Amino acid sequence: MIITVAKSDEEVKRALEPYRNIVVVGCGTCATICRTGGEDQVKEMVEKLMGWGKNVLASMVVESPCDVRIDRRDLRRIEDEVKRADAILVMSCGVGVQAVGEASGKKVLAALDTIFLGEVEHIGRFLERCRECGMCVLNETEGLCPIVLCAKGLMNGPCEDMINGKCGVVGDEADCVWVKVWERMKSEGREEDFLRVNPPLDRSVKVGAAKVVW
Amino acid sequence: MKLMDVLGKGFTLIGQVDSARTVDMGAILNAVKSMGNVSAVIVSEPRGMLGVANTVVVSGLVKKETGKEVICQLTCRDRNRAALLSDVLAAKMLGIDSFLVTDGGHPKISDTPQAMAVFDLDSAQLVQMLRHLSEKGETLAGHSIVGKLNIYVGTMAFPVASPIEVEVKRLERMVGLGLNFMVTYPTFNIEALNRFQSETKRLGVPVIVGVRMLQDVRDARRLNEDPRVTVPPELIDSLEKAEKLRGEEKANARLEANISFFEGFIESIKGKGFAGCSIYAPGIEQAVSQLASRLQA
Repeated sequence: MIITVAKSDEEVKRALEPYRNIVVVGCGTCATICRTGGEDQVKEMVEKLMGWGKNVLASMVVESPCDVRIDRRDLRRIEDEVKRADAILVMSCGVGVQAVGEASGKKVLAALDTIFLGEVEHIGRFLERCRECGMCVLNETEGLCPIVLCAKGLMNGPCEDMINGKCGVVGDEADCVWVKVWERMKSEGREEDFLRVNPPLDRSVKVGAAKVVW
Repeated sequence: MKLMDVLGKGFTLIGQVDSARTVDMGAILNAVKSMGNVSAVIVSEPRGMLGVANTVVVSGLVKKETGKEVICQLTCRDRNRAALLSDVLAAKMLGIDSFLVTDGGHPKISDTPQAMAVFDLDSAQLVQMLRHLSEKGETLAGHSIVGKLNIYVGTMAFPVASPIEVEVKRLERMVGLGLNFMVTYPTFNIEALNRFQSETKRLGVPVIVGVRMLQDVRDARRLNEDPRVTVPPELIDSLEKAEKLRGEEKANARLEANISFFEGFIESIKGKGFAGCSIYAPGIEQAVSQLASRLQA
């Protein structure tokens, strides 16, 4: 799940400043679960925009705005409004914003901040679990990701900021992931596995503008 | 005398000085000079302060100007593996070959929280890199180095860490990588130190006990905010008494409070298998030299 939070009204208002005719697009997948880009939030945004004197031509929740094919299919239903729009305000993660831009050929603006790839414990409690490093280390670290769960992303922790089994950097009673790794190894009598040195990560795996093509 | 010749030959005293956000070496050199006859000096980064004069350069200048053996702290916080290598090569050119390797505090809990936390390598991987350079004359990527490096590498150990078994295992992992010495994070807890010594003795690596002297009672209270440190009430009391005095009398009373406390502290850990003591006395470095002569007497 891609976890998003709403940008402040001031920021959205500032971004929309030069534009009057707006289409609002929400996300039927992650942002609906996050309650940042579902039907209700899109409706609220439309009202807000009208209050700011904007002309809202249309609004809709696209099933998965991150999929350009679905954007093309769904946006066809409001083709004329999209054509006339000065900008599309997209209430989805950054991927959705860019994909809607690609599908529509229009100026797109982001209404949300994309925070992380996370696990949904329940609605309203989302926990970061993956930083898409491109070289999953979970098999070496007892199924717990130190790149994201350790504030320093250390591959051979713990560090000086571990205090009573907790992370002194993250705070908020967050567990030190390296203590958790140790406990899992110990519970299975594999204490010696903790001595294994994980090698430095190969940063060339992740250079940006990545593609998977087949 | 080289650091590794000193360690393991009786109980040694070393000093510690922080680099600073400065372009003036004068204060740092004066601090080191006032420590007197310590067998080495650790040049460290002040905790929670990002962007101080490069410890490698400061180490080189301390060595050049005072002739003392220097241990240079290197952290993984601000530099990727290439920048760390650059610093180690430059250090060698300045005559520095002992390093105290730590992960480094996170920028988030520093005075520059907006800075990127690098941690391209962690402290274990940096130890590995340094050993590799020293023994094979190569970088981790297999590129060869022109000239020889003979590096000694130590790390910071945390005797009051809880759970302690994880900390001991972490250190054991580093020893397996060729760690040469450890310096403990300053603690006043002798019991924890003795327990730590008995648990790490089997690793066969010299342990230098970190000691932190206190400028005044405010300094003691600030230090007490660190959840890993408990300043003994009797030391706070004697620093508090010093506050009632004035001028030179006050300064002398503060020094005496430190010296008499740490004289007892060091006497009680001597002969317990520790290689020595590293004394960090920010702003009152003359106390190091006074304590040293008291211990010899």
